[in-house]
Amino acid sequence: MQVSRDEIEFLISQYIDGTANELDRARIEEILATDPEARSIHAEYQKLNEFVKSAMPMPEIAWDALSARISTEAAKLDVPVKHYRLSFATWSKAVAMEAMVAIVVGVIVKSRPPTTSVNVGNAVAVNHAPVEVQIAAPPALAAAPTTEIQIGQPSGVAAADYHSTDAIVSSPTSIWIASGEGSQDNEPSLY
Amino acid sequence: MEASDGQLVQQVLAGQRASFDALVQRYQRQAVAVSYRLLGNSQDAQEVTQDAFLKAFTSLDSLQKPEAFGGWLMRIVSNLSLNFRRSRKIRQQLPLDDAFGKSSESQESAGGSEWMSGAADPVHTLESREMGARLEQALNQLPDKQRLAIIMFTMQEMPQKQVAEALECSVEAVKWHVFQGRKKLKELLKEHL
Repeated sequence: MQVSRDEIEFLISQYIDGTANELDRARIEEILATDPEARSIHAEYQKLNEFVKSAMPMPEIAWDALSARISTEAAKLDVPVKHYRLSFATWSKAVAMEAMVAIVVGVIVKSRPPTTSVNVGNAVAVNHAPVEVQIAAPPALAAAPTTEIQIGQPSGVAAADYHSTDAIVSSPTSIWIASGEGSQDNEPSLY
Repeated sequence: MEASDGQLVQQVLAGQRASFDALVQRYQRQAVAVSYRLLGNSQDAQEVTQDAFLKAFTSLDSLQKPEAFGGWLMRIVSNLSLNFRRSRKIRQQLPLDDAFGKSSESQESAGGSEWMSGAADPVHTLESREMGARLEQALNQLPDKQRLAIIMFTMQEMPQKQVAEALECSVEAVKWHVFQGRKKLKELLKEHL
């Protein structure tokens, strides 16, 4: 993979600082082993680093006197007290979160039937109360057309002329009536 | 076992002033060093460090993460130092005779850089003074973030995380600022390396 000069310099910078990750360290070591230009950049950065670290040494400072001065000045000030302030954003987030939790809990409580548990030895039996399902009755059919069918002796027919049968077979398209012994009449009846 | 920064901050907030002294002891060297590298003057650096600690003390209750005290303090130190530098520049640009009715003062007494004026610690050799002056000049040409990243991370060897907290950026951004600053310094100082 081709690595740009800028990328090599950035890798070298991290390599010198010891902040490159393992993968980058391996990459830059490979580049330094094969690329003389990269080695030259590495040498320049190392030299610069040494210069930067040594060029402005700290002068002698009376540290005890300085800390005593700071301590004396701080003693004149009130001790800071932690105030717990809630920003509007934090406050509104908390309220929204509480509302959401309340809704979720409400839905769960509402949808679950109450349960009672009975301890039986080591086992726990859970009694679920029966769930009653109410289905509303359909509205009454208003003035539905009805046809009354009378089964029995037709009016105006003499009892002697009337024969009832208990072998009525119905089908969607026709009604078959068997009448008389050994009757195998396949013709659909007209009534 | 030594108390952590977070524990010391909590103790101060609970009213224990002595814990603040422990924080001063822990960070005063770092604070003066960072300020000194920004201002080039040890007296100014100590003054700024004192102000920074007092500011930190009075606003300690606003510190969100007590464990990040070090980075937070360095942010205060660098902000105060940069402000101090700007005001010093303005002071130096003013014609002192007109402004105060007295003769011009030396750069040192006006709070200038010890390196630039050659008034650095007498133990430093002429060569080291020149090196310091060159580096200070070059650092002054960098953008603030790059300069602070070089000073805190490369010169002061502060942990990257603390530098990131001080600069209010990510650790990756610190690496980038150090690299960009280093690249510019290499160009600016190429004749002296």
